[in-house]
Amino acid sequence: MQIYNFYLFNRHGNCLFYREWQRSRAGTDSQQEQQNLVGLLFAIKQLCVSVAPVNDDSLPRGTRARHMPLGPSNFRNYTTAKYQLHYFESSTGLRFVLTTSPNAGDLTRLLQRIYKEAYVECAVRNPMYRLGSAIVSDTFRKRVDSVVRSLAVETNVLRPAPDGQGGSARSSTKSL
Amino acid sequence: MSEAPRERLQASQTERNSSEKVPRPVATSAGAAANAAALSKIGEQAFQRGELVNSELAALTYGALVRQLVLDYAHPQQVNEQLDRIGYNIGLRLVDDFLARSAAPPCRSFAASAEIIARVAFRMYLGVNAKVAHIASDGSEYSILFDSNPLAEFAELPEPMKGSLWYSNVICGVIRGALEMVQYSVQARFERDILRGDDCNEIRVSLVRELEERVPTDNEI
Repeated sequence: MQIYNFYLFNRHGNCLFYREWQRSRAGTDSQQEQQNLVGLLFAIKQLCVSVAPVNDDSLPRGTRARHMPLGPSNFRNYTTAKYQLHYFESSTGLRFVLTTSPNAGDLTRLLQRIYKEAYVECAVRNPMYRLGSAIVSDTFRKRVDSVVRSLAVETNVLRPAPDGQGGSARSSTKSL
Repeated sequence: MSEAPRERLQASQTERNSSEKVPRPVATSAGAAANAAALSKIGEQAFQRGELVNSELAALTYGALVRQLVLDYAHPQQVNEQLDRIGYNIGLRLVDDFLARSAAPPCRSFAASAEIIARVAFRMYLGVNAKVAHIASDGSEYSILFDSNPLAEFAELPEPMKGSLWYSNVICGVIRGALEMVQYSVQARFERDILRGDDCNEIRVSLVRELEERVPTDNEI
């Protein structure tokens, strides 16, 4: 399994943080790409709510008149032949997105760790960080890297790709 | 006005000390008593897990803050507002800390957020046990009651301020800020305060409206 890119969006769809580890094809327009991704995520969220059975967690159960506003999405990941996209949304509307090679399994817990160990500790607790602005902190970047790297250690993730991309994969492993 | 940056900083610092205020919401459905016990346990565990700060330090720091505000502003009413504002800014941030660390179950209704705030958040950040009471029949208002208040440990209100200053008003701001981040716009205010001679502390939280998440609009057509 290889890890490709990481995105962090807030509730309003602004990209707070972007990091790429392995990207074999350079994106043409990263802003456009992020916008498309945000659109996709919002659409999936809506769809999940409208398709899900009534006893879905996002709907009120045994509650009175008032219910929760459209809560965080239960959507977790999707897989294509080429990559897998993992998704975690906090109750505060932060959206963590990670792309990996296919068959990476469920990485929700990894994204929750990024939320807890990187976002909360290095962004929220930094008095100089303004909520909703892009995160430029080096500490934050390193923390994200180290969380992702811990996964790499666990599952031997960042192995060089078998198909001739070995060199680039290895170098990005190091740059982690 | 020149106050603002300093307050902010102070707010963030106290928050970082994490023995400070408060709440955040996310709660469960109406499982009543068993549920409350389970939440208390979650709160206790979160409290144990977190880093603890000497409560005297927190109380004295907070006292210094209030004292300065009382000096800076002419009317206790203004001090209340400032404390609420400081708390609001804390709440906006604290909510993420709470969500990430508390392991509280997600909340399915506004009324359910009450138990989470009282049982988990108060326990986790203030180290006190709080309970919910006086829930309005439509579930849009509730009160949080707590007996001991570590912020006011050493405080006594002078006579002239007994009718006007809400010493721990920062907690209301925190509740307001935190709930806003999970899409509930609320009003929170003190109804009773032991410092004023009441028999317990009571914070009344009422829902103004539920915020809706808007899909970002596309610039291009």
